[in-house]
Amino acid sequence: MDKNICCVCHQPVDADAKQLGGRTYCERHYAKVIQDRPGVWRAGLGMIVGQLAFVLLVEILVGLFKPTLAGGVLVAVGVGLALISALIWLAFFYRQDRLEPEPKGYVLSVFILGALLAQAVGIPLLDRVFEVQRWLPRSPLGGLLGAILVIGFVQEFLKYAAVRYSVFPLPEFDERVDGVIYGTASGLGYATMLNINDIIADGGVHLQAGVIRIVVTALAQASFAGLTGYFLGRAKFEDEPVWWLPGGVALAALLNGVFTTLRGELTTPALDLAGGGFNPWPGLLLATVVAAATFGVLFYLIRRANKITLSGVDAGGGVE
Amino acid sequence: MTFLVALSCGAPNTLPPATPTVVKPAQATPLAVEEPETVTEETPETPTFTGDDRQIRQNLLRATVQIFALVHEGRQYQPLWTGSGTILTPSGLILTNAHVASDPDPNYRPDALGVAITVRSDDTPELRYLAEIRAIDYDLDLAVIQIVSDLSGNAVDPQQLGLTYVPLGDSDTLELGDLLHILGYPGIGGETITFTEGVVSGFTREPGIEGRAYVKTDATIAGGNSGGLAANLSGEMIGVPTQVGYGGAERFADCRYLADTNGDGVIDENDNCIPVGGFINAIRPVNLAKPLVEAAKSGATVPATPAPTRPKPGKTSGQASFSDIVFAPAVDDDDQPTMAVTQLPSGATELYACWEYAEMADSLTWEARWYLDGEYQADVSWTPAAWKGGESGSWWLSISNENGLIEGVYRLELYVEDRKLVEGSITVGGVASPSTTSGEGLWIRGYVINANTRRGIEGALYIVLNPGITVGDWEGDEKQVYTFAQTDLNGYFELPYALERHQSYGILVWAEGYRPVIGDDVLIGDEESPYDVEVALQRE
Amino acid sequence: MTVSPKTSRRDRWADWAVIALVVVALLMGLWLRRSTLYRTEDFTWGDAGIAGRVFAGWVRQTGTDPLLSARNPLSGSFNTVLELRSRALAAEADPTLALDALTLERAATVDAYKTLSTAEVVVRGETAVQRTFTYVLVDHHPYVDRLPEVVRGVDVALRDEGRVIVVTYLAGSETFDADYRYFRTFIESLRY
Repeated sequence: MDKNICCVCHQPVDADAKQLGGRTYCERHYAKVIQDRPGVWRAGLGMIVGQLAFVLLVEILVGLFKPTLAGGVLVAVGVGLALISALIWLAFFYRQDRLEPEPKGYVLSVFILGALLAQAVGIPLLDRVFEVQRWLPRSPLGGLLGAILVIGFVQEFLKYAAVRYSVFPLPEFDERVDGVIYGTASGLGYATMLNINDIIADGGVHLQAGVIRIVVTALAQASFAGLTGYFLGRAKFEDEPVWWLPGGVALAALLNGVFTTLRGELTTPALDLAGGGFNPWPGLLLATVVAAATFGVLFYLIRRANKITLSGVDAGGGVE
Repeated sequence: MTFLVALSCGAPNTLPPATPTVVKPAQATPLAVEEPETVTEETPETPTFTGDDRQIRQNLLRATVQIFALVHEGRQYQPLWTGSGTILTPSGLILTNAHVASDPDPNYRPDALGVAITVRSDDTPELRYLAEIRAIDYDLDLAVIQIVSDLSGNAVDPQQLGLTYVPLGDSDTLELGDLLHILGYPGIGGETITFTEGVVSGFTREPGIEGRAYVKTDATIAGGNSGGLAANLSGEMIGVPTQVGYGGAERFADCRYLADTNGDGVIDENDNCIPVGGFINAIRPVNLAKPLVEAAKSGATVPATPAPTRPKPGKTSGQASFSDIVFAPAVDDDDQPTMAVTQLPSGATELYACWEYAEMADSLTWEARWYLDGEYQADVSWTPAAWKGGESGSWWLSISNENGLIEGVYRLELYVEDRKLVEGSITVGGVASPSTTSGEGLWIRGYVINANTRRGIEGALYIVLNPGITVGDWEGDEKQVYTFAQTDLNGYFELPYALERHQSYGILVWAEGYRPVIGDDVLIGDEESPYDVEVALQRE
Repeated sequence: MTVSPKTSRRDRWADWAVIALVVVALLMGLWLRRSTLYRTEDFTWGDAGIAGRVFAGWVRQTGTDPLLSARNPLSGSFNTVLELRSRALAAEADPTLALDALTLERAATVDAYKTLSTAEVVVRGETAVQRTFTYVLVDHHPYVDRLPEVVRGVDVALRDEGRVIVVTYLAGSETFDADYRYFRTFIESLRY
């Protein structure tokens, strides 16, 4: 059996080297793979809280100053809000990651790659080829299925691809948790481009309702991409079955579609005589819950995997 | 009941304005005018006809038009018959046969003339314009008409038309054996232009016409070519192919019932027939038309010949005749009905009955009897009285009630010398119109906006279903829709009908690319009317 | 550099499986899109003896003339319309007569009506006459600021015994091409 190289750095290792999930590691990388990186989780939590604070701040500022913006200024402000929302996570991440640095260039690259894929492939595919806006609203069941099969799969695959075909094979992708980090970056990049596109297409944004949409999109896209990233991370460092990665993408697509539909339902209350028809707050609540739940579950899963690994090593051998 | 009765002061002996003003030449015929045609002076920029034969034929082709004699059927036009014509000036002066453009008998006059221009030789002509008669001579069977508007009735500027035209030639120079190009639309609608070549085979004379009355040709021309174009090899018009024998007892040599012109769903002899057959081999020389053309151009009135009287099918000659009664909610300044109706809504305050008459005399007694639901209404009827409208023209009667006419079926019978000439009836009321609730209902208006930008959505639909139908029940049948409105470019809409109070409706707001918003059982209470709403839609 | 062949082969399979799964999902999505956008329902016009399929989700109005008017409520500021008429016509008459009558009716009610072309076409193996036209739809409501809409339309006159069946397609000039397949689907579905 040809297992005497490290699966991360591809350096030859001793025959009795550490093994994990059927894969061989050198000492250094074995130690890295099972690292917990609490900074990642703090960044995730910080992102959620930060986004909510961001919404609150904008609401307060708009309430206080009642700015009357229009035209290009409004578009610029909208794009600025979308970028700020993305930068919140990056800022938290870089701050938390000071001690155990992930190559910053890589994280930023994946973020930009996610944005580029959204602009070059995702948005044209959904808007022009599938024309989701034309037919998704027509029937509730068709809308849900369409949101999963088309919106979910296109978006989640692209965010997955932004990680899988860039940093994933590199030696720097050397921890289980790296999948979550890069996935989140890719998802935020995608979300930012979506937001900028919406703002430009609409020719501006109503600041109060608009900032909520920006934050909801960012939280949701980051969460689902983080989930796919978790599957990617496990796939690199452990022997997982063939369905593992497709399952991860499918799960993310499913959640994405359900979320899209559910948000639509929640934010569209029944019409009354005065009109109404839209309330953005339930959508924000839903996105917050989804993001918190996703990162919470991922945190727990990775924690547990690492613990099992460690205890397995203690029990001797660590061989599957 | 308090009815007011009005009687028309309706100008006797005037023609209905829908009929083109007819100007008739005085005596049998003005003679040929010596001066050459002045047509070309008007437009130096148009092509001259030298050289290329094919180009000449192309020019002739484009200058030949199909003319539709049209009558109003309700608010629509129906073709009565078709013929051909030739454009004489870029501004749309057209020469045709008198029997194509009109009819000496007012009963057969079309309400309008449609002009279909030739686009390509293998295409049916395109009905583009409406024309009016500028000069007409029934004895010569020639008429000059002028394009005045597009089909919607919007006036066109003749100077902007820039139509292909044919200059007038000199028909007196024709000699036996000269070659002729003959073009026209042979008969029923929808066929393409035909081109025939022939030679001049003779000339005929007619009493009252000095010089050549007809140019005979060896070419046989289908009946519908009447009014078309006969040109010499230089591309100049030398005559109008004309159905000889027209003006006798037979209106058309071969007239068939081909189209459901009266819209009763059946094609029978009640429809207007369309001339399809008969052959022409006579050409009315263009020199006879020149005075008419000049008259039409200058706008001068050509004194009229009395129209020949002919027996009218189905009616006794020499006796008074009334057209069918047309009911209308109002008449215009020319005493013509504003629109023909068979039903008036509840609350209508006035009802007009209009008809045209011919061969009446002031010495005759006439009577008008109104019936409401079969019951004679003495207070609004006209007891026998002497006629004061002269020989022919149009007339109307009206009944009115400030508080709204009593609902029911109104029947009007018209008698002359105790003989019933015509009757007609109309229903007032019985039409459930949602607008009747406007007084106490709730008017709804407002904006449909994009939730994220708070700006209006253009083209969004605000649909209110009939009470008792939920949005889920609705199968897309418009009969289940109470009312709806579409937003304008600001996202603003106004429902055309008020909603009834203390009634629940299903409401659906829809726009492409947005998630629809639905409200079932939206209760209309005692809100102040009009009521402003705002519906925010979010993009999918 | 050597890599464990077993592991890497499984990884490659996993990669391809992701792509295959996405392709399958998108194909299903395309099918779903098609069946949602072009879903039709059977419809018959009993008196006229015509049957066909109309699009689900369209607002339908039935009557005598036209027999059917179906509008797509989700097609922008001018709703795409399909209409069906049946008009009596003698056997030897040209079906273009029916189109001429329609031309006259429309020209009297709309602005800037213009016929664009008249041509013979083959519909389901039979010749028919097709006329294309355009007009401008103007909303005269004093308080509603709707832009005039340039409408393009097609009439197709299909000959039947003793009558012509006229199928009309009306769409805003910008959606005309995109929605044309609705018209084709509808005309193909007619049975009479």
